[in-house]
Amino acid sequence: MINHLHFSKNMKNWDTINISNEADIFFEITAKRHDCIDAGIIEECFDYGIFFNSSELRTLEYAKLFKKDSIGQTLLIDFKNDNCELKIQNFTKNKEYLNSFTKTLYEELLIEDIFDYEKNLIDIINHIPSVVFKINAKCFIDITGIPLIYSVALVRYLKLLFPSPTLYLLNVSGKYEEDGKKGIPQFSDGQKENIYIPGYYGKPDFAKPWLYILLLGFEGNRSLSIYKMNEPDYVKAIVAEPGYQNEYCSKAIEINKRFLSEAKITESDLIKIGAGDPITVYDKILELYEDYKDRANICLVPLGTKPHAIGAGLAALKQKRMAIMYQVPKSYSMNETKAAKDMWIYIIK
Amino acid sequence: MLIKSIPPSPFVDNRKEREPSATKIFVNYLDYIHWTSYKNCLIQGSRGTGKSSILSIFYYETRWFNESIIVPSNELEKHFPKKQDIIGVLYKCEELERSLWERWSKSYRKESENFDSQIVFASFMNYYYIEKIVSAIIQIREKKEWVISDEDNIPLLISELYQACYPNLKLQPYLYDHSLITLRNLLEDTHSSLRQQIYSLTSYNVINENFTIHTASSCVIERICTIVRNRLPKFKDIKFFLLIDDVDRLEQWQLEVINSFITSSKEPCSFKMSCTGDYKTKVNTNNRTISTTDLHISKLNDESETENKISNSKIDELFNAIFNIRLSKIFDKNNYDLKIVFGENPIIESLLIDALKKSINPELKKLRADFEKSGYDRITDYWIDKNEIIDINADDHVKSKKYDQYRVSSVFSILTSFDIEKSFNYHSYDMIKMISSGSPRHFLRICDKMWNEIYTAIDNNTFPIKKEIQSKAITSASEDVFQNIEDDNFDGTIQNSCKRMCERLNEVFKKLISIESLKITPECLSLQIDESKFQPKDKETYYKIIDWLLIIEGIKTRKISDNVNKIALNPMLAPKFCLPFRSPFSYSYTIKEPIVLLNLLISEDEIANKLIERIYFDRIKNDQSLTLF
Repeated sequence: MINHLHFSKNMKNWDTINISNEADIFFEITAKRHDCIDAGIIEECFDYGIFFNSSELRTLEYAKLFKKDSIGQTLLIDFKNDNCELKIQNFTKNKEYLNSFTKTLYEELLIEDIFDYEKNLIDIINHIPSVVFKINAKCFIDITGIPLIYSVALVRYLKLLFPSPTLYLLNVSGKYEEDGKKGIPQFSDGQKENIYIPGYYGKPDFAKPWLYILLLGFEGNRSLSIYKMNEPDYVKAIVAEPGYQNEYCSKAIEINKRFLSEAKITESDLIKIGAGDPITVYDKILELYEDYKDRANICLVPLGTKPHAIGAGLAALKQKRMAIMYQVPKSYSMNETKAAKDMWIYIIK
Repeated sequence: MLIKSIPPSPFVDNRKEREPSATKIFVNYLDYIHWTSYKNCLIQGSRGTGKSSILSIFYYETRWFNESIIVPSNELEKHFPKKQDIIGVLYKCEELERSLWERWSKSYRKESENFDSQIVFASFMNYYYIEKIVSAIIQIREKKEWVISDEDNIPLLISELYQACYPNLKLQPYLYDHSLITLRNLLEDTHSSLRQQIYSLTSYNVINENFTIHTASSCVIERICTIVRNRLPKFKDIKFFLLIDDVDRLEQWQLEVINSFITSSKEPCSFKMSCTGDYKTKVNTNNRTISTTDLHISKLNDESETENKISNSKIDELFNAIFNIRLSKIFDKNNYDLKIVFGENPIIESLLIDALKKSINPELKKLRADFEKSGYDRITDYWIDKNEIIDINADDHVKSKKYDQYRVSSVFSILTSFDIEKSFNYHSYDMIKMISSGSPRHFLRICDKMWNEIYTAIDNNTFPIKKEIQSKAITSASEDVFQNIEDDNFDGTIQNSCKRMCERLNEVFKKLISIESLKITPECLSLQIDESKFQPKDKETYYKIIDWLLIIEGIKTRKISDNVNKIALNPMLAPKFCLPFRSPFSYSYTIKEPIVLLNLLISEDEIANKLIERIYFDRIKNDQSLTLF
């Protein structure tokens, strides 16, 4: 029996919820949640850590928590495309934090074009030193402020290239304040093209119809346009409930209402899984895979929270016939997203 | 009191392949002969006419085991009875796959050089089809228990297939247990790895170094089929059909590869393909034109209701058929006349007089009084004469068709000049027809909006349906066309931009139906833009407007000549702008100073442009085709 994560409001600091090591579980995933305000210091030591600089204030939350010399080597990645004042300020702060807790080597990697995903991923992987190969090494990626495509693709590359070390993913949930008539700020703008996330190309049988599993978030236009462009024969939708904030689920449903009505998905058909819970997402997708594998090709479309996308990524890593689609935006937004109250650590063994 | 429940609307737009039992497909005798022979065939038809169903009848899982997911209709099984003499393997072209192949091809090909891409695509198709053929053989042998009689030939078969697929000794993958299943797995690995290389933008040279690739014109599949027939006596008379669904989704350079396969393929395999529009690419990779002897084309449009291009005169027939076939799902009687359901066409001049009478505007009162004193029979003739729009030299002129156009345009010009469009109630079947602008999808949308009223009217035999209800349904359907604007997801800034854009469009189109424009031509609410009149510096703006004017126009920008494009307001959008609708079929207005118009439309509004792009993105994928029944 799998112990699904359950998100009690009374969880204590760094409460741990494990997924049991049943035979059918490909990855052992552990999720830890903590309150931002009372985080304390992370006592654990790591061999390697990757941070991304961004304009979002919440991306600094984790860097504050490491103690001196607790990480062997660190890499700070900055995307050149979209420099703004806040991002430059964050870079200085990040650098300060990282210098203080890095033991042996602190490195910077400047990426010219945020949209050149394949090249950038190879560059990042090439920066990862041999130290990560050693058995029982511990490395982490702070996925808080990066586009979803990077977090999902990096998890794949790291798990395939460096299977032995434990991978920690750090994430700080965001507080999305509605700005008057503007509504919830978007992470990205416009639609350039649809691609598969690098490595997650699936192995479709082109004689079969498609099942699209959409993991919904606050981008209603994307779900609608992906649905209309590809016209899958079967559609399932997953939404974050409970969301990071109480009202987020109903907002996501409202924002995606055109897609839901076009795809004829009623509220009772929606699959509801906690916003920070990649484990149930992983589990649910594999369950759907078993149901549909003989009659359809499966494409996952993560548009919601990053933990949901990570869950989808791990499921597609286990069942390689599934593909993961990503809609490349015209630009990424420069939001000053602040931290909400929860911080998460996902440990993937 | 018993409240009668209204059944769900039968006018919801849906795809026919999702309702297999409703499929009705027309195949003539000649087509049947070609489709079951070794001839390469292409089937053309609008979406929902049953192309995929026809292909599915040849798909080996349907034909041999009745197990296919795509279920063909009973109708088709009568036409193509399930004899086990054909193995069909299917490749359904997907939109995303096409765009990813194109993305790779663009990254590596030099200007106008497709050849490398074509070689890789040809190899991918070869490996894909061969894997599917080997899979089919494995399944048939297992399920039909044909194993024993052919057993002696299997090692030779595997070895010959392996050599034909992987002739390059250096790049041969290891066939460790010499079984058909391992060979199938190797083939699957090869085509899916090739696909992965394409998606991760690997260069042609790297692919060439790591994979056995076949030349762009060589159809290795044919050799494979011959080997199978020679080595397995049970398969000696089997025909191999290579099925491609939605072939027109492929890029031109890919279609050239398919054409090469077609021109070189002969017994025992042939291509059977389907496409929605015209099959435009006529040459192969060697620039040889494919002829009717290479490819037999049959159309599924013979029954007129599914023709791609519907002439104005056929719209009545088409809409009546759609309406009644949809209604037959609910009612026994199903021969309703749309002119009775929605009302006959009104005489627009008398409607104009009614609108004038309702107005308390002193200028209008004066116009009415002056007209009554003038002795003219028709208010439009009085208006045309008074404003010196056109000279009336002879009685013949007044009776001419051209003069009638001036009269119609004058009605709208008067409405616009005095801002009284809203009191001009012009709802009837004629208006629904015009607003739908020949698109059954729009027509279905409007009917769906007033389904409750249609049901009640039929139930109680009370026709026509009230004008106010028609008006509400039309407005609501037109809002759906402008769907993103209504989306709450838009922030305030974009909504404001959208408003500004609507106002600007309104302003532009009002200019086009002004007295001044009528002095030039009665053809209004559409434009002809001549590319050659644009300065090089304005070219970008020109392309932008051609792009986003698709939202204004209902169908597609029509090219009148090489340089001149004709664009028109989509009548579905007319109510949104409070503009009178016009038929998109006949009116045009030529602008002499295009740049003035462009400035009016686009200006420097970045956000508005972004918004238009988003609407365009949604609409272009949305409104091109439809299902009728």
